[in-house]
Amino acid sequence: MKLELRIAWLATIFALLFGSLLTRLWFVQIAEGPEFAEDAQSLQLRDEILRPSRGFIVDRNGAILAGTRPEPAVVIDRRFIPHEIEDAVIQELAGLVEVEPQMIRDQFAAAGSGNRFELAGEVTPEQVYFVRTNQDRFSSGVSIELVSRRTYPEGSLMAHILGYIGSVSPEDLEEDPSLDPTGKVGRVGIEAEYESQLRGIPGHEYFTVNESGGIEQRQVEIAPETGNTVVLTLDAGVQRVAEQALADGIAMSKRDLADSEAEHGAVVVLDVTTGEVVAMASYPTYDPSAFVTGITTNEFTALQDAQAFNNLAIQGLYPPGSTFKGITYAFAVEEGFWPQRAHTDGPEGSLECTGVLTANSLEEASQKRFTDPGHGIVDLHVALGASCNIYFWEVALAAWNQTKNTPDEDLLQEWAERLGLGSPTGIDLPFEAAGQVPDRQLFEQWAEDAPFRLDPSRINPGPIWVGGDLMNVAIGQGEVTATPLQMAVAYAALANGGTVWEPRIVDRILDAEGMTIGDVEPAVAERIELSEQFTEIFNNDMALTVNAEYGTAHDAFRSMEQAWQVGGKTGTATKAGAFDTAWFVGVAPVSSPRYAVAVVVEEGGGGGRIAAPIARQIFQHLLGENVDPVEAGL
Amino acid sequence: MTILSPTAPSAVAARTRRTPDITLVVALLALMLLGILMVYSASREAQDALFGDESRLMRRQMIFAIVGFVAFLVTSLINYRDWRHVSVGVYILTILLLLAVFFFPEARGTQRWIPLPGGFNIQPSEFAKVSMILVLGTALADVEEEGMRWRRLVIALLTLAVPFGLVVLQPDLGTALVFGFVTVVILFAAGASLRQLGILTVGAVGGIWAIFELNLLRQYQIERLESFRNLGADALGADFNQLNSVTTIGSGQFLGTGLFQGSLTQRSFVPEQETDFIFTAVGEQLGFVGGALVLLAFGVIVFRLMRVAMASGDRFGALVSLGVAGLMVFHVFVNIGMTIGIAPVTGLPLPFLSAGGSSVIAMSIALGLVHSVWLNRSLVPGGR
Repeated sequence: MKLELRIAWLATIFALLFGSLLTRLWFVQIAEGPEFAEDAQSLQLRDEILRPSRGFIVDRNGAILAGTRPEPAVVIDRRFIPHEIEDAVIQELAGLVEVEPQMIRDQFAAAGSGNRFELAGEVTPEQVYFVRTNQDRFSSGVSIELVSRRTYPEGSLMAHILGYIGSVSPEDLEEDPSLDPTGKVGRVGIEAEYESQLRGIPGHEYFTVNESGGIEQRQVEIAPETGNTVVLTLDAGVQRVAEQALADGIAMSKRDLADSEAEHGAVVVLDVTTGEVVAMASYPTYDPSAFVTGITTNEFTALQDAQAFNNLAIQGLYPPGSTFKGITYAFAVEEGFWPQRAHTDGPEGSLECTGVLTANSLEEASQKRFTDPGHGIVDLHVALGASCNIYFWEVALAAWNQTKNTPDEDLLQEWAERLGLGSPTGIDLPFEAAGQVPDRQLFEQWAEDAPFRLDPSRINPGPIWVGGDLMNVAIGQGEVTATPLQMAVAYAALANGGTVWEPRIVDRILDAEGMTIGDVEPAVAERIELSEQFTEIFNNDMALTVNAEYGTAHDAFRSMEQAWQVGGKTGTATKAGAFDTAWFVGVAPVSSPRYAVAVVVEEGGGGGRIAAPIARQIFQHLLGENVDPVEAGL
Repeated sequence: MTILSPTAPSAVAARTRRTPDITLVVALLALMLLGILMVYSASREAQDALFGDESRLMRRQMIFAIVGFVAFLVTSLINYRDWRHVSVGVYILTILLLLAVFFFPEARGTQRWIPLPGGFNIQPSEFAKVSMILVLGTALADVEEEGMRWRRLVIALLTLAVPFGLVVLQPDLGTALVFGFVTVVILFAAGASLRQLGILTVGAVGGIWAIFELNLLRQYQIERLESFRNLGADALGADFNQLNSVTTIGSGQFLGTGLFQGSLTQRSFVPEQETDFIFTAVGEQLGFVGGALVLLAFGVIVFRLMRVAMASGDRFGALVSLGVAGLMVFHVFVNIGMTIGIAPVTGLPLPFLSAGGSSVIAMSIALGLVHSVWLNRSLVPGGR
């Protein structure tokens, strides 16, 4: 056969295939079209909503943090409960689930007439059996069906990030009328922030209807589409260690320190190379499963009073104490402000710290004499490792003397703000706090709007803002406040060469079958130009805190093999009338930083004593060591 | 009156050689444009609910269409004969890409995709369809008209076996069937006898029997194939999609309900209605008129491809053109046939209309190849 003939044969076959499509199309649309159109019409007469399964929340390795499980529920369909016997059925149901009949009546009312809904509460196998064997007492409008229930397989792990779900409220419906009035929506955390992804698409059941409007036959069912999966950047393994370390550290503080008021704390672990949150813990915590079938008012109030619902890692505002010195350090090096008493300018210029600093005038400072333990001869490196207040006060004093009443007088605060303090970091979690970095402008505004926040002598005779206030900022005391996440972001930036990340907690979104449908890309909030050597010197000096004999966290890290790879800064924030708040912010490995860790224990004690041992456990896990039990540092 | 110079004929010939096939280009652009409209119509409600952005999928489809058209132009401008010299490289690259999917997580129970940044995914099996046409065309281009030796036929089949096996493992039944159909078309065109093709068919049926017996298919694939056999028997069974789809298309009747006015497709009545079942949106909203016009556009494309095969004057060019024509016909027949109930649900996209980048771009490249055959054809019949 010649090629041309073979082509002709193929053309004939192809033409036949096209012809059959056209013929069939004619048949479906023209010959039988009216019939199908009628079918399509009748399909729209009754439309039952099928509730979709909520999407999963998984950690970066795919471990399920929030999933679903089919569970039996009592489903009420009011259309099948004759009106005359409704009250009798309500009485039966109240007896079944052992609640007041009024509670059931309220649920009937909330669902509206002619609606299907799920009775609140978990159903026991005995109750399932009872309904099935006594169907006549309940009428055909009450049935046991498997419904998809939210589960949190890891219990309270990451509860603050996952959040919880709650029943749709009238306010929710006002905002989004398409919501299923008897369904659930995310209330806080990822469950709320990613509600639209997790919700899924409801399915439909279409019924043909007989002449009197009754349901004749179930015709077509369109399966609901399961919600999308939210993949977090968190690592459940690191999270577990962080939560345990935090809880143990708080217990240690209460046990070892007589004045301890430790009830709250938080931990953040950040990947300094991407801004991903690897772990984020807040104490105390709760189990979000409690909300799935309903939580009692008493339980809820108790948890609320303990602040268990607050994610302190992003909502807790604390004076950062000496952890702020990392920022003052960068300010000194990059802007060139050095203590007047130092024998030379620069990081190596040393002075003798006798533990006392005397200011020349009250105009200069809020008091004349400042005291701190003496550290002997200190330069910038030793000052950071030993956390020498005198040295950093003198840096602030030098800056004050050179810049007061000029546009540059709040340069230190600008550094803090560029590193992320004083405004929300922009993480994709709700209710993030901003914190504050005080300056003359803030105090002047307070004098106008809220004079009670200032000491009366500042307003009369004044001045409102003095050098001592800047000295306070330099060591993170006074009116400076920051969240643990902000401090982690700031240290990550100083350790990674100047990239201030907008941290993120969601890595990507998958559809129910696992296809990636959305990527959350790393976002840079600010890129700070740091001098070439800065990061290396800073990281090495942070390592002094952990490794030098005089380092404030030396004792807390004594059991860690790779302590030489860890750098950080302790902080002990003091406040009149309260016990000290313990801080540790650090990075590892110092040779090539990967992780930043921030730990805070509110009213827990000294940073080196309480916060550093918690951080030590987390660093041990991050660097692949066995985690030693927490033990108070010195 | 001008006197023709002796060089005139070849100048005319040179110009003719470079005249693009406007009809083909117009049909291609028309289908791409309709695809963008239908993807928007079929996906906007769901996209709005999911992302609060009803045109998200449409914008992606526009990007794919633009990239696809550029790919068509670029392929058109490359002399198709050059591909013969690099066919081994194309073959190896195809296999590497098909292997690469196994290094990425399963999605929808299969491993077909390589994720790219920006939430895009590449589906190598779509491109493999085109590269296999090139490889088979190269392997069979110099078969004599008298007939094909068994040895050559077996070598061609063995060459195909590796990518075919990888596609089956993904598993991607639709693509495997495409490979089979296109192979038969090319073998027949290259001179295989009916007896040879008959023996091959018997072998293939035996192979399919073995696949079922050895449980090589996933459950959902078996269900899909079986649902085709007893369409309409059980409205609540596995053949929902198809029954819903037929009802939806039928309800469109002669003129349809109007673009963006589909009462069923607007409510996501048919699953996958923006991808595999995009023709339901055409059928419901544009009616028989719209459906017939889509068939006409594909018919025009296939007709032009056959004409190129006739005119190419080069066996390699003819085989490639026929392979692409077979590819197009099979996709159109199985996809549209699936939506109107005369073909099984196999998950093949409708070229240029279904949402999805790999398919649009791969099909554009395939048409570009044939267009290159047209642009570079010998004007002397039988010439090389």
